[in-house]
Amino acid sequence: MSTPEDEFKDSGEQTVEEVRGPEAGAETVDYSAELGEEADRVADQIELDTNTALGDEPKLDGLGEDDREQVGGLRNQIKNLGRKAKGAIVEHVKGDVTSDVNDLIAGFDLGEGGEEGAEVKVGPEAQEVINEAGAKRGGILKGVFEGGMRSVAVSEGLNLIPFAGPAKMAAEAMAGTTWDGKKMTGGQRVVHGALGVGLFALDFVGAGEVAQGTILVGRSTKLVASVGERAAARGTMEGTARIFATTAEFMAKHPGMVHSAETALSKKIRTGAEKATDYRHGRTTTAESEPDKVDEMAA
Amino acid sequence: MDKSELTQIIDQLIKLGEDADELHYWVDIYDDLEPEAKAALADNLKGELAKLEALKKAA
Repeated sequence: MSTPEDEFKDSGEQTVEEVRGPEAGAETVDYSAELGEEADRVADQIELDTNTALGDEPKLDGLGEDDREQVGGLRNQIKNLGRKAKGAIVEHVKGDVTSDVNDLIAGFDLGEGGEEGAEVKVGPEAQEVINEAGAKRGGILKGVFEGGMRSVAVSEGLNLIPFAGPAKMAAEAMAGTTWDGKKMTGGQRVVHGALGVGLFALDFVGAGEVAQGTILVGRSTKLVASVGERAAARGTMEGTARIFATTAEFMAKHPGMVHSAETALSKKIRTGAEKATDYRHGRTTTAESEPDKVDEMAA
Repeated sequence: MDKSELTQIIDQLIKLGEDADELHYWVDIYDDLEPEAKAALADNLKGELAKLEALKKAA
């Protein structure tokens, strides 16, 4: 019986090594200039196809107001999916050309947003109310996360300067815009705040300064879960443990949202706009210097 | 505010356009919140619902 590898060989297709040479993958290669144009073309086509498939606004003369709103909401939801696909392609291809196919697929996030049925049309005044209330809830959540982190830190006997890195990250996340300046949904606010908890978990292993940036990508959900596990192990922080466990579950259900947040934060860290220091020891350590400890923590 | 009241308010907010993912998350962690956080959340959600319903009526 032939294996997928055999079938690939029989197909005559070239491997990555054959195309790019034996050193392929050994270092990051910047293909963004070549791929950027193609990404734009594909992304535009997806959005165009989505809008074409929807066609003109249907005549809804026979329907009541509620039904008309529902149909309108469904059309908007489909349009939003097209826009999400477009945004995901451009972001992933241009932003991180070393991402593998799974990351790209996860970034589409197509499974989200449809759970509640039709998307509700929200007027500008109502949106203002929603944004304002959401920002205040962000403040509440920030307090919940910080309280939990503080309890875990104290239980671990860490002599901490108050959460300089994670708290700042979480505070920024709660402000209502993502690290790359986009308006956040409520779900994104939870995820971005949780990344502060992920950074806090990194501090346990002495890798507080995440100068490499990519250290958090693909790991934050497990890191948040690990903080919950540490709290659970103490036996005196059941509530804190469950909150972090629930937060990790939320993140696991929204891989695209998490990936986008991790990527945006990593970019920011890589560009040096944000530095999280190892406040536990006041020293500078990186993922490069202690990769094993980081992997152990996230495992 | 007990959890059933919280759920009712959240259901109404979602119908008015709020983010379902976020609000369901709050339901999930509600029992583990400190009393102060519960009270702050309740005030926040009730206030938002009142404002959104007023806007809907005015429209």
